Amino acid sequence: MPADLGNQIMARVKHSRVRALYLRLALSSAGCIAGLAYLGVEWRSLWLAVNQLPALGFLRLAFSDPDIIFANSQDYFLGLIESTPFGLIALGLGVIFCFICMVEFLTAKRRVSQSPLIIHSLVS
Amino acid sequence: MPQFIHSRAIIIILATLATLAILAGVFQLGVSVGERKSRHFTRWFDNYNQNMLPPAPHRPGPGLPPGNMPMPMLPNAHGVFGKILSVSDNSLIIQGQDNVEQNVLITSSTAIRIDRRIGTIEDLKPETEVSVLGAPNEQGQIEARLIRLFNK
Repeated sequence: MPADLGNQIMARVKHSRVRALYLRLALSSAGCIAGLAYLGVEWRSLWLAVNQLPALGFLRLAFSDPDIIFANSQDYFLGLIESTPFGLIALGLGVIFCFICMVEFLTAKRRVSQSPLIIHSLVS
Repeated sequence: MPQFIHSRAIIIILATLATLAILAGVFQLGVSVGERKSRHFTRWFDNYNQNMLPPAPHRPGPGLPPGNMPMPMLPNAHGVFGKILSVSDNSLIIQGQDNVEQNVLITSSTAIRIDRRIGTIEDLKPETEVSVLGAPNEQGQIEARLIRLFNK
C-alpha cells in the first residue's frame, strides 16, 4: 500500500467536492444573471405592472371593508388569485433563491479550499 | 408493521403523494380561475357594444366597435379599480388600471362606502376613483358587492 494513499484519497475527495461546488456555483450564478438580465430588459413594463396591480387594490379593500370582504370571501379570494402576478413573484423568488445559493456556494468553496482534509485514522 | 410505517420508503412515498396532491390542487385552482376569467372576457367582448355604448338605432353588432381598437388584456372578473367614465341608473362604466372599460351593475345588495360612511349612487360621479368588488354575470358585467370611494 502506498504510503500517501490516504492523502491521495483525500485530495481526490477534495477535488471532487470543489468541482461539484464550482458546478453549483456556475448554475446559481447563471440563474441569478439570467433573472437579473430579464429584469433589466423588461424593467419598464414590470414596473408598470407592479404600479397597476389590481391585487394591491384587493388588499386595500381587505383593510378598509373587512365586513363586506368576509361576507363575499369567495369572490374576494377569486379576484385576488386572478389578479396576483404569479409570474413576477416566481421570477423574484427565483432570483433571490439563486443569489442565496450563489453566496452559500461561494462561502462553502472558501471553507473547502482552506480546510485541510486529513483522516487521522489513515495517518499512522 | 410499525417498522414499515416508519421506514424511509414509506416516508418518501407519503411525501411524494402529498406534493403531488398539492401540485394538482394548485393546478386545478389555476385552471378554474383562468376558465372563469376567460368566460368573463368572452361575455364582455360579446356584449361590449350593448354594455358600453349608448343605445342607438344603428348600434354595431357583437364584439368591439369597428376601427383600430387593440384587443385588450383579459379583464378581471371579480373586481375593477379605476375611474368612473359614466354613471347611469343602475350601472357604471369604469376604466380599469389596464385601460379596459368594465360595466359595473349596481344592485340592491351593493354596498357603497365612502371613508367610514355609507354612500349612495349620487356620490358616484364621473372621474371619481373607485374600487369595486363583485361577481361576473352572463352579460359580461360585474355585479357589484362593494363600491369603495377613497377620498384623496
